[in-house]
Amino acid sequence: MQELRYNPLTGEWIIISAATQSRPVQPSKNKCPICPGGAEFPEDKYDLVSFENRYPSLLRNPPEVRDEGEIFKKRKAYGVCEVVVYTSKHDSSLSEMPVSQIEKLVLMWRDRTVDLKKNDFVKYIFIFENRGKEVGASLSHPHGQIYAFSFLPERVKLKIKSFKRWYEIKKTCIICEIVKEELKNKNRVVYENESFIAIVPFYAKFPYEVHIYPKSHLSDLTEFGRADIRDFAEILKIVTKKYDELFNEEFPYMMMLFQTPVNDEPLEHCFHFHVEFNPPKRDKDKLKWMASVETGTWAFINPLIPEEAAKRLRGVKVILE
Amino acid sequence: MLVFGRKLKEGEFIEKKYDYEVRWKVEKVHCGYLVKGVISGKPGRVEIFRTVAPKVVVGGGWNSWSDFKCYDVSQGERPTSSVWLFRENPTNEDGIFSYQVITQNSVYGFLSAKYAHPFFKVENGELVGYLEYFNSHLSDVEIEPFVILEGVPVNVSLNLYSYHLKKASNPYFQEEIPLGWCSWYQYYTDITWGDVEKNLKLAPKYGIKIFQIDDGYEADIGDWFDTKEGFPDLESVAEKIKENGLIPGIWIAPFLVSETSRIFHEHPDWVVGKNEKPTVLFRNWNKNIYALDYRKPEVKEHILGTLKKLKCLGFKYFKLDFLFAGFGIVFNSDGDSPVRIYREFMEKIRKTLNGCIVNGCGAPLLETAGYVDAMRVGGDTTHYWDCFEGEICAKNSLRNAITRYFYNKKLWINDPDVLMLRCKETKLSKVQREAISYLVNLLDGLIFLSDDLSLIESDGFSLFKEAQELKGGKVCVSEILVKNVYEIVVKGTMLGNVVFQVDLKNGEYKITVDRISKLKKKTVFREDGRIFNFYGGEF
Repeated sequence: MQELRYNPLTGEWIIISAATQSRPVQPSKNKCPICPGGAEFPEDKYDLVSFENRYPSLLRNPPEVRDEGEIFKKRKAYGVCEVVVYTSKHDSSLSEMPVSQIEKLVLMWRDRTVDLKKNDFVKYIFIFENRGKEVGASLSHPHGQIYAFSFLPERVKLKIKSFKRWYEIKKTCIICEIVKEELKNKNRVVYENESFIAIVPFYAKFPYEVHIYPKSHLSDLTEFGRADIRDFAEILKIVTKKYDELFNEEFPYMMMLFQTPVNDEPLEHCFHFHVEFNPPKRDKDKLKWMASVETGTWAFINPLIPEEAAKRLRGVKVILE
Repeated sequence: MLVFGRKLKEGEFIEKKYDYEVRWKVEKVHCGYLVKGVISGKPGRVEIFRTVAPKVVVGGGWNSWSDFKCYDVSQGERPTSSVWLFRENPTNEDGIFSYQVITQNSVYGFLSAKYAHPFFKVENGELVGYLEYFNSHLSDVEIEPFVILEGVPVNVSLNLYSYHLKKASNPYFQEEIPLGWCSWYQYYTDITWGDVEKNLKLAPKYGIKIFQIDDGYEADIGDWFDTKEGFPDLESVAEKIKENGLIPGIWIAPFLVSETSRIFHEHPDWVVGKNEKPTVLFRNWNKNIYALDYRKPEVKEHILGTLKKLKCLGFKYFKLDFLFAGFGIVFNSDGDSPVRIYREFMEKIRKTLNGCIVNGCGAPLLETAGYVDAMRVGGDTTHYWDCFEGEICAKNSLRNAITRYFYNKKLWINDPDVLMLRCKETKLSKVQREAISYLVNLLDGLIFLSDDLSLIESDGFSLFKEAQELKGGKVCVSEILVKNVYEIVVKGTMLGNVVFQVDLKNGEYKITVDRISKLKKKTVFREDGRIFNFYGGEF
């Protein structure tokens, strides 16, 4: 069963997806379904690949639904769920991959964005990676996912509301303003290159939360120029490498790319592309849980001062080969 | 700023006048306001909006062919009511800006024309927006929605305006129209069957899929099935095009008949007239031209039957020209809305041509929205660059393709008119041919070639192919309130981000491409229905 159900208490749409229950969880390396020779690629060799998930939450042709009265509303679970495999090498990761491979990944993400937005029902293209079992990753092979939503998820709506409000009042983009301030202060900067800045944001929810912002106003991956693509690949490598070296272990995280919506109100002028890393670790052996306060109220309690987190991450030296 | 005579503010309002009643709502939208409402009675001309007149505006007439350009209204510059053979607006007045007005930091724009013709006038230092209902008697009819988008850069407000345009009507149109060939700009009315056969053989090399015969195949205007001497019947024409693996396309002006046509001689009572005397709509082809009165059942049947027969013969692409002639009935609509009458008939045409690609030309723009897949947005192009204001030439056609870019893929696919790449039988220089090719592809509209294909040399062929890689990006005209030099920034083309500057006066251009690397890509459709996209490559 795949369907959207409306929560009249919060105004959210919930994806009910029984299919995702069947997916394999942390299979051993020789049973990895996305390695060359694995279940998904029995004969195929590949460099990078994006394919429709065998266990999708959203479908191009979802089953029909019927409301259950005035309160219990449903919608068809239109959408596309893709698995994005970064490399054929099972034991690699963003932090280990050569920058040139990450550049190819960025180009693949760009092309997936171009392709998916051709579907008129797609309103939001969300690229993400869950790394580590602490955040629910089911496979350790380096991969991420893409959800092409047929609706704007609530948190995206909230961001859009804030971006629009700032733009209406100030006639500028809020992230452009933040970038200016962070470049002046530098105390929350983790790393920067010509085109991007990585910071622990002033408003970090998680102890080692890092955001990556383009220094110029870009609203989605399709707007990236040649230098942006190279510099984005580099900063992704640096940030994930710093994470791994912080506690000298594979650092779990949720990496989320936020692009401007598609096939909807044009917001390129106020929506600034950005990446959020939400890592659950607060120390080498301690996790920051999404517990009652965070889950129930969306009020986050961050036990680490963002400026201190930025200092620690800045202090981790990373040398690119 | 006043809306229905009251200071602009959010809320719901009612106004009762002697002749009509209007209930309207002003709601806040991003960077502006949306005005919607319902009207009843016999309103005639209704003032919707009034503000201080800007110094300079971009605007123009209602027709596909109308200039849409920068006017210094502070210096008295205005559109005139009549250019060439068509009227610039249905009210036949000077100084009318139909549908929308673009200023330095705002867009004031109507979103539809379903019952009224929406327009603006500059009156005593004020810009006034009106809805013209003619003699219509209305009962709870929705007013044409109107947006006020202010205080942000014009490219932002235009982008938002185009979003509201689409949202208000959400018209269906075919979003991907294949490459095409059109006979007009090489052969005009002198086209021969030999020309057709020659170009049919060459078209596949260019990736052309639609092969459209333009004006010149018919014996007379209105006698569409009587082909001229030397031309086979239309069934054979369509068959021959199909034999070559191409989609047959045809030009037709469905509302027109000429004074010498067989159809006019047989049915002089079918045309619009006064006191039982036919009214000449305009003169063209050295003849008096009349408009068919499609309110008469037999005329309606004739027009729809003609289109149905053409479709049955195999034509799947229709360039419907001189559509403004459907407004020939405008002053004789017996209390009904001429806009509604026109749209009702266009809807019937659309249904008759269901499954075909329809390109509207010489059309009242917003009135025709929803009934075409593509729409011409400027005057005819030519094989020469320059001309005087108001005349037709490549420069003016290109100017409209730039200034009306905001319509593209919102109400239809913009047709900027054709590319001509031949280096003989043309006065366009190599630089001018390049400028047109790059620009129309960057603007991401309809791409049709109109050359004797045997006259295109290898550099023209390469240009045609190369320029197509500039499609697919997000278009922004950085500065639209200018008269000659435009900068167009297009992000996300297949090649990367592009900045294109064109000097229309001098026929020069500069293109800067931030070229991104290209991955090899292979798409595989698995047996279980899933799509796999494999990427790779070295760089």
